[in-house]
Amino acid sequence: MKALTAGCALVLALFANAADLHADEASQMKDRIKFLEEKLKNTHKLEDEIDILKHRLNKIESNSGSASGISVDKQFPANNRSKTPQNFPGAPNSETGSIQSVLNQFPAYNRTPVSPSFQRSTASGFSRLYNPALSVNGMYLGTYSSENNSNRTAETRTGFKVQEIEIQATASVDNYLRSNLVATFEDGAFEIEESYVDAVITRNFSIRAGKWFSNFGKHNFLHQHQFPFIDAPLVNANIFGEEALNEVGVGVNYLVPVPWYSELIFDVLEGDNTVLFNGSSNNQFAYLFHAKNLWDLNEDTTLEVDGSYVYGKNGAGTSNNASYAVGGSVTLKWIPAQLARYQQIEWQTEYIQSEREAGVVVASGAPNPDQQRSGMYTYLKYQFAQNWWAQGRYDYYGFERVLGENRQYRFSGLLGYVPSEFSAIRLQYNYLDQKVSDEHQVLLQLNYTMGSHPAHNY
Amino acid sequence: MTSALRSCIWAVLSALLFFSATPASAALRVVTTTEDLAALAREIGGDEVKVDTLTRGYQDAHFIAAKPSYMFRMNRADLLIYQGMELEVGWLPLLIQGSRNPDIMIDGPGHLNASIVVEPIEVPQALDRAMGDVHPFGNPHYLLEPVNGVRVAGLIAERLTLLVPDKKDYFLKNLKSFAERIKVKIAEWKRRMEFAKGLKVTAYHRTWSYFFKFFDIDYSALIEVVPGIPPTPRHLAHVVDAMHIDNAKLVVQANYYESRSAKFVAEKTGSKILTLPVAVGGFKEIKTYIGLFEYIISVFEREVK
Repeated sequence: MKALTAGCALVLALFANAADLHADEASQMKDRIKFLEEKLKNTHKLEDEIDILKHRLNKIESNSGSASGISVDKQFPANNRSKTPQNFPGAPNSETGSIQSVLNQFPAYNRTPVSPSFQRSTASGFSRLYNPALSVNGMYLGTYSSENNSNRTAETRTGFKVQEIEIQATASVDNYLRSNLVATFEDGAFEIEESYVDAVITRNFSIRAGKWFSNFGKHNFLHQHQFPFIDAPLVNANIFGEEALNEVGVGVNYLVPVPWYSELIFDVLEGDNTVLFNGSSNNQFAYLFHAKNLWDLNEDTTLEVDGSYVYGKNGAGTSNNASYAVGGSVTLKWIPAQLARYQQIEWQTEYIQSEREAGVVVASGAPNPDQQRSGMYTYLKYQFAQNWWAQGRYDYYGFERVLGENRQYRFSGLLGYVPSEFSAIRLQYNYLDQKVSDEHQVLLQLNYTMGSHPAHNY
Repeated sequence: MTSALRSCIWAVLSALLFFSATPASAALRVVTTTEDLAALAREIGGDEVKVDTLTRGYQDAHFIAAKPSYMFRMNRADLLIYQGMELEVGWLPLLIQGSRNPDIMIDGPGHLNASIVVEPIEVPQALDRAMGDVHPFGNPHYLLEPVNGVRVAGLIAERLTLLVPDKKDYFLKNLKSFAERIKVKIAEWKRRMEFAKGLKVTAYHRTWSYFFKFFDIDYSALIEVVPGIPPTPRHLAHVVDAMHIDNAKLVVQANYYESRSAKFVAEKTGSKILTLPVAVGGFKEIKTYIGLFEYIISVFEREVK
């Protein structure tokens, strides 16, 4: 028994010893790893230094291009358009006594060019650095409505919902194209809302191809998270439908060389909008014209006047029935130059009307009456502190309207709390008069952006 | 096509032709995002450039509305100079795209990011929006250090030389003259600001980091919660505490911030508030880059010494 105990003790001791040995070995290995890592780091530094020296040597040997020691070509990718500074005729030869020597009088001028180490990893073949800018917009909505509460599918009904989730990606494709993608989740459905490429063809001219919210007026092209109010104006919803005028096509865009900002747009579109177009044959396109003018009235105030016209065919009755919509808007914006963070006023008014030829009555051959729709909205947005907005809107639909539709008007008031550029909490009240029954709506929205979201248009 | 319509089209076309054929002036058209850069471009370019600045010195360059009228002004520029390090990230990309001017696009010869010659400070170790509007490449207010002004002037001289090669000697002469003048001034400013060494100062935003570093001044506290987020009462109480601990008696802020918070803090700590310009044109009388430092330093001498 004693012997056994002794044996056990021995074995245990051995084990303990072995464990010690393991620990020793581990710590040695750790040291070695540390040492090697350190060495590797130094190697990187040496590589950097070699890069820098090579770069400088190149410069000295070529003795042309940049006149100083500052790298200009760093800004320019190697394979760019023909008009790069390197190819400029008569690029100056650096003589001593030039820019660099003037700058050398200032200590610490010569900074070490940085050769980023991330550029070295070529093994995988992909780089995360070229990923598009990605962002997600989320909009959560709580609604109270005095009507429609027995209707589970009504657009505005009491309850909570995820109004929309938008995912956006933006990047340059190459040195010609720039692309934008917006995909949305709404009511359980996934949709590519926009996907297009833009290219500047020559000075003043750019083209666009893909699918996008058409530049009709001031509201139609907005994504839902940019809407000035939680809901769209009545006139837009009635003339273009809930999905707005969103078409596949190509367009040109011209910056008119006049002494103010003037932009002309001409688009050829598929003409699929179910409310306005949707012609019966495949070659029936829609054509959109848009003119936008903006003047600086003074340093703080701008006036914008827009006109839009879109023409296409619809599928009512027999084929070849024309449809068009025409609209105009006026926007006045006041942003005090020095205190732009704290105050802002925006007043926008837009009028839109549409007309659809409705074909003939088959039995008698008599023409159906044209379907005419028209309406307008006007709103005032007032930012009264860095984080606070107060807004009011008046909406009207039905100067002209289709048989069976109601004349509608709506008053809306909104209070917005905007803690940062990336989030907002907005409370909106609507009084909606539809001739049948008045409706009171209270909407509370949380609207946020995460990630790298492109700046919004003015 | 009716003749009326035809003549109408001709009228429009000839009007367009007229406007686009306005005689190109000989001077190089330079557009800068800030008035500091405009002042530097004028120092170097002299009569050979026509400089247009998008923002004025009394505006907050982080917060500029991307007005289409800026696109129109950039449309005809030969050279765009911007401060970079994401100072203008909220509006400049839209304007460059909207200007439809290939010369100033990112791969064009007239696209100049002035920050490539400066050594950035306050480069964040981590990036998260919870930290506020942090600039990922470091603090972009580098022109408040006078040596950086010379570096940028050198860069501008270099680019102007590339764009107008036969005026090389002229640009070099201007650069030399500017460098000589500011060199003398820098020595003088260092001497005059000797008294401010080691001063603890509260600021609204880290606008002053380069300036403070150059003259050995330290921050005590910052009035904004994190960059871009306005102060809360609780945060202001912390600021007051920090200033008591540091025995700080000075609050500085750019002239485009609200002054209520600074006044509150100053009252609680018995401090003085300096409302300073951050750029040329910050106040009407500041017209040159050297004049900007003259102004700021004389305010310090008058109010703090």
